[in-house]
Amino acid sequence: MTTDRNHEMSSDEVRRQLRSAQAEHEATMSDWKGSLDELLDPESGAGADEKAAFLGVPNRRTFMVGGVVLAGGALLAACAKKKTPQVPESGALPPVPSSTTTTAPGSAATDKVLLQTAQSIEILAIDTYQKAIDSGLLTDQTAKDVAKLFQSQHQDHSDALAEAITSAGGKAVTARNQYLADNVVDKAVAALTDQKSVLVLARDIENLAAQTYVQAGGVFTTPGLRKTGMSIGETEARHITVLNLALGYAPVPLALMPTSKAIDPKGYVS
Amino acid sequence: MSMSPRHPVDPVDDRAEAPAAPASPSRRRFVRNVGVGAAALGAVAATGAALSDVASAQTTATNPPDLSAADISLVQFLQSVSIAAQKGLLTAAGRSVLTSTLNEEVRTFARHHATQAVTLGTLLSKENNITAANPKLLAQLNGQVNGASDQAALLNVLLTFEEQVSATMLQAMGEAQSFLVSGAVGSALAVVGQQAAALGSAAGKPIGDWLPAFGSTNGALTPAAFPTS
Repeated sequence: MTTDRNHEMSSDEVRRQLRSAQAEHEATMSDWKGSLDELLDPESGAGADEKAAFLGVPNRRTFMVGGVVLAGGALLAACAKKKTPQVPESGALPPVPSSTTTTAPGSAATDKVLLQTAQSIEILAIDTYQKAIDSGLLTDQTAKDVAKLFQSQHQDHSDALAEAITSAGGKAVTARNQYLADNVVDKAVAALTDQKSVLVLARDIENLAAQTYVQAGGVFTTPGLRKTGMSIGETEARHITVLNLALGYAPVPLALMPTSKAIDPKGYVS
Repeated sequence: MSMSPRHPVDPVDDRAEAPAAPASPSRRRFVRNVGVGAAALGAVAATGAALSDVASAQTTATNPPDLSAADISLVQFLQSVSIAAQKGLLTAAGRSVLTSTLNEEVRTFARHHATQAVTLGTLLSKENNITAANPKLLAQLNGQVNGASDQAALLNVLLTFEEQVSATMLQAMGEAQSFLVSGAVGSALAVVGQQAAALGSAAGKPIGDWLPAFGSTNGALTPAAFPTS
């Protein structure tokens, strides 16, 4: 492996961190799932104000005074009852009321679509990293270890999103995003020729994922969901930087993460 | 994994892309609904590289959205943090302890913070815009930067600071009431996280230190500890 003096990543270190990071991730996941279970379970006894505080929406008093974030209330209502499991399918976001340009673009239904879409992208990333690892094209041990680390983090993200979807009354996604698989990824995987091509594809997928989370950060209806989404999106943005370094590009080329490469609405899972 | 000491600009990432043609009525509606935030982000992103001075650019804010008092305070705080970050990183770049490549990267990161401050400023009226660095934060950062005796120490200082800013912005994602604020903060947060990763890598820190599975709010800066004035 060739490295420069400015950015070093040893293979042993990556493997060591993969092991320790997995333990840390399990602890993090446990905490997050526990909080969700406790607060969003309709039988938990948690009051509306407690749920609102967790989700980051105004409590009843603030809600009445402020008269805003109606969709947050809708999400809480959605959490309180079981809904018919949804069969994932691609499509557009649910329609939202006609609005002015400063009206929030989201709704509780939109939240669920975005969560399901995000999980389908995570599963696609997990699947694609596995194909990359199995391809034999990653000749550098550090590249293999980084691919495994990224794959494990996408698995953590998928697990977290599944929990959020289920808690919101939806059905966790079990399949990769078919729209992206059919239109982008499968063709790209078939055309892989060497390690660099694998890294480029990985970066493209991470870019798509990170930009989708950034876009969702301005659409999710509750601060809690925005924060949860970007706690994932930020990590995927960091993946891009690692891959940029590996490819010899500037590690952080832009001052703001754009959303032009976020998933096309045709790929939404509803 | 080859890592060249010179980082060419990635033509894919830096390409200015025209918005995709509306694919459906729902997509048109979606685009219209997020128009204000997207326009604010897009306008600044397109010109961000050319901006070298935060204060001069902040006069461009016109017709800001109607934000709550809490959101205005939050955006002002983040602006003050971003300006402090810009100035603190420029102080670091002014030290003669970094390699030329890293020095160039740190200057780039400083410009990114400046652009982020400008972007946040588009959400505020001219009179509400913050044009000065967070004084306590900048003093603290400059002290740490000037106290770093070598490259490794300086990179550690900058890594810790970027992680604090990242945590602060993630915390803000959970506090912002307006989707316009969360949209702008999310766009900046992703990049601040990338800068932390780049600095962690450059510092030779274990990858688990700067690449957690989930972003954290540990160490987030608060307006109580770091008032804007």
